[in-house]
Amino acid sequence: MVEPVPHPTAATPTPFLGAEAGGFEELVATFAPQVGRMLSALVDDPNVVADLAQETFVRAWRAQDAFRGGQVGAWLGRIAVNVARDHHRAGWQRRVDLVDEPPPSAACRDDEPEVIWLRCEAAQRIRMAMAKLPPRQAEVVRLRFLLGESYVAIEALLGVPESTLRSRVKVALQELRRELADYFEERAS
Amino acid sequence: MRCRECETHLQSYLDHGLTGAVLAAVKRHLGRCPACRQTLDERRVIPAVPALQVAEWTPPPGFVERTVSAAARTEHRLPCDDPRRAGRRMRLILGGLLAATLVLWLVPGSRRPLGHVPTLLANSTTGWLADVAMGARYRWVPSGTVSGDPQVLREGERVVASPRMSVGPVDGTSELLLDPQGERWAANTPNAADDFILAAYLLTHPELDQNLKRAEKALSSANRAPQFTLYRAEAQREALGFAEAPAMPRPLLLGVLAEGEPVGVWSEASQRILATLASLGADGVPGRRGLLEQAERFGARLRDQGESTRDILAGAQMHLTAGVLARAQGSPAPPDLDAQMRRSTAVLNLEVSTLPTPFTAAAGRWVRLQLRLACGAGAAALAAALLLAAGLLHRLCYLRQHAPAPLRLSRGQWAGALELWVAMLVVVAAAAGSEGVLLVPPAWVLWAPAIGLALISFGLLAAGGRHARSLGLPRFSLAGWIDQMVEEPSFRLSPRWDYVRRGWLALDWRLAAASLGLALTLQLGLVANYRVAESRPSIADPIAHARQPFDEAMRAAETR
Repeated sequence: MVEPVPHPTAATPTPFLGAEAGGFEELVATFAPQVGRMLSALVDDPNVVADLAQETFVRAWRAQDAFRGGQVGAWLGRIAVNVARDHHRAGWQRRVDLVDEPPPSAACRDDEPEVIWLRCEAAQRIRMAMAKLPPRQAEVVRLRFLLGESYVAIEALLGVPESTLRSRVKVALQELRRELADYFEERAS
Repeated sequence: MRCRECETHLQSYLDHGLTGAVLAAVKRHLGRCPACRQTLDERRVIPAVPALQVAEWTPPPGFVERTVSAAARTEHRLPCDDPRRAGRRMRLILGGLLAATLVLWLVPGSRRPLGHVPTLLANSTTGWLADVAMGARYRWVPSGTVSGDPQVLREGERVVASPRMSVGPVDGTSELLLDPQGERWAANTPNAADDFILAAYLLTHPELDQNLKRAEKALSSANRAPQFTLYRAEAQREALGFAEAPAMPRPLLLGVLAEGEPVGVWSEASQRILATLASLGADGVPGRRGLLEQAERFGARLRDQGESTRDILAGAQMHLTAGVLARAQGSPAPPDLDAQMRRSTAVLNLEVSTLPTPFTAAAGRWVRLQLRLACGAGAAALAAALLLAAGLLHRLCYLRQHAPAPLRLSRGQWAGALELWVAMLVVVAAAAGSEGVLLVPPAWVLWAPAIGLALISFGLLAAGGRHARSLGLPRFSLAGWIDQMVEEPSFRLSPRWDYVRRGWLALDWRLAAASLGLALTLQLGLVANYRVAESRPSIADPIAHARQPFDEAMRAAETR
């Protein structure tokens, strides 16, 4: 088997691409929160986020030869997007079950019931509507609205040009508007 | 106001929480910035509420340790070395080739038994393709029909007379074709030896001659006479010793012109045959016996295994002709004539395996396999061309979106490309083998499997040794070797090429290259065949041309 060769132009200060496990450990510790946050935006079930984050780092370890320097975070983000896609593909049945009741986000859990209703009702409905979108649109919408990423960042993550992303979001929003029509009426009244 | 600042105010703007200068500034900015207007529209549907934002994620305790140990358990490897993916790819390629071959075997097989290879195909597959492309019509004679009489013209049928019908399903190319409307006549005799057999039939079967006369009459009444001319040479009839033949209203057919172009071309082989006949006739030996002797010599060379397959075929044709002539003339036939004719028919049907020697049996099987492989390769090329189109389309879409990345492939990709290139070579070699199998000495043909095996072995080694390992071959990883040789960082995979690494796209790209090569090879074969066809000498005076070998042979016999 081919031994990994340290990359001279790698942007990471740690010897991530070396065979030493120390560099890799530091990399995991540094980027785990970022990767985990992105994955919790991309998948509905918070219980699988840790597993998927681990899978992301393991894939990065295996594919380190493919890394040509630059932003390690962005590279890990791309891997995380692929991991999330694989997760959706593999767990299609499970995902359908979750469409009915996605678990509430952390902000909605530990508060007074009235506050929860006021603040989290909308969020809950929007998340449910998002879960019904087609995968390609849902991906962009989740990154944009749940993670709050800019279009430029999403373009780097998905490898899809900004104009395409914007039009995807537009279509998805129309769908969401239709899905949330009664909610909008309620809010307007 | 800039977009970034505007975005922070958008939610307040929607909630009517802005006043004064800020509100005016936001309105001004929205008036001239379409991106922010879209963001505003987005916020109208999905408000930027904290409950919707994903919270910070903290790894569970022991996450780092578990991840590191999980990574340590995983083998670090290149994507192209993934055995599952490689297995899938190989299965896909082999499955595609197999399916294409099966389709070609089964679908046209019912109507076009490949065992009855036309003479042109026997000489060259691309020659056959070229002929079909140029509108040549072949009559495919069903297997095993050996009848005693030539097929005679029936009104409304295209086939006027098929001289080969009487001696069995030889190749079906030597036919006189007649359009029902009398539009077009052609004696399609691309093989010179066929001309000879046709001539022999015209010598011995008056009903064929009647058909020819009718054709000539029909054409001359339609002012098409110059397009179809029969050249005869009474003198040669005597020279060949056929003067005493019982039914001979028409002498030897020397050449046929269809639409002003010579169709039947005298090849070196037929000149040799006729010269032999002439010299034998001049010496007083009956022509048919001379033919038989000549055929016997061919048979001896066949047993010595030193002659080319083409000679084998020529010898078989001579056997047949001699036998037919002997029967037609009512002369006493040699005792083993029937056996010889059966054998010769088998040879001309490419049923070489029915011949007694183990060598010819193997050669027959090999010839058939090669022909099938060639057809399979053609179908595979077609399938690959479709893949190529899809791959190119995808690639164009990709390049339209991104600046084209410099051509940097990983070692695994180089190895993979090499592997596919070698696989392509094997396929092309198989096709080329079927092209040349009847033109090269049989001993060369026997080398082809060995060469193919060597190529495949090299391909396996080039693929990184993973197939080699499973076959128990010595482990040598070309990818590893390249890795040692090239320490250049630019040799590594660019993230831009991320999409290439995905299995089916990578397959696409390589198959595209392979199919392009295959198509080019076939095309080159076609071109080369046309070149050969063009380089045939144009015959200004067919009579003089046809007489030449006879005259020379006669002169030689006289001086002797």
